[in-house]
Amino acid sequence: MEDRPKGIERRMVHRLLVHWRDAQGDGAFPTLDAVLKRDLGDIGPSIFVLRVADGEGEPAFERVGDFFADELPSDLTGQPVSAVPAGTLLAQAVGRYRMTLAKKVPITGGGEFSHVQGGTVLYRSILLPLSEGGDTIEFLLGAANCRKKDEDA
Amino acid sequence: MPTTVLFEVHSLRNGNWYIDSVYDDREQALHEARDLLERRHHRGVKVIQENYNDETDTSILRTIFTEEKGFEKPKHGRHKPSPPLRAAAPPRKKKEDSDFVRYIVMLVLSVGGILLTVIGLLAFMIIMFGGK
Repeated sequence: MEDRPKGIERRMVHRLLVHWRDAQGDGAFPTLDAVLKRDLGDIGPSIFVLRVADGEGEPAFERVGDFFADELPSDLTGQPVSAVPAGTLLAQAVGRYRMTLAKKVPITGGGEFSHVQGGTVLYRSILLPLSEGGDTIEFLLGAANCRKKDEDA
Repeated sequence: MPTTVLFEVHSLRNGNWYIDSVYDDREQALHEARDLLERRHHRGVKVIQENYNDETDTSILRTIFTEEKGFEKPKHGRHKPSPPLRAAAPPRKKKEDSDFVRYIVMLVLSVGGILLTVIGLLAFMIIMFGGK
């Protein structure tokens, strides 16, 4: 067995994925409550929830963690994903929601981007499908964290 | 050439392969695959690397890791090489020799027993009927 992935970004993604799997039970997807009622520890502020629209509409934010507050001009609760300002961590994190809905599995992403507030940021994120029962995805649970690239040196 | 690289983790459950999760990081995909294999319902895992070309809309798929519980050794490059086979060969020959000797002994005893029985019967018949 190799060592666990290094870096705080990977660890957070991995831990949330483990919570998701533990809450999954025998069904295809866990419920939102089943995941959120778990002791998520320091992941909590880095979480956001998207409510998936019926049909072709884009998902809207059900809740957005405090970790994203500094980079957003206003509370995005109730707003569609297209309302997220470009060049933010949240914009990177929600970017793969279509793939998550299409593949119906957890999808992680990461890399670096130029933040709207300046500087290059390294990030990792994850989107997890949730259902209130059955095979229909009603929510996407997401999380992301980051650090300035300069701090790496 | 704009190419997107993704790593799909697939798991074997109830005899069927299902896609479990998708990663853009090879090491994390391999780690999650091994982690998944430790869970009760998952009998096997594999990691498939997908190189997607945005211009041509084509994908090249390559399995980079496969492991099944109690069935198959990992096909990942980092696993330790198998031990040399020469250590296993001599005991096998010895066992074959032992089996052959046991077979000969049993054959001799069986044939000898049959011969003794026949001789005994002949002697009995000679004693009973020989004098008449």
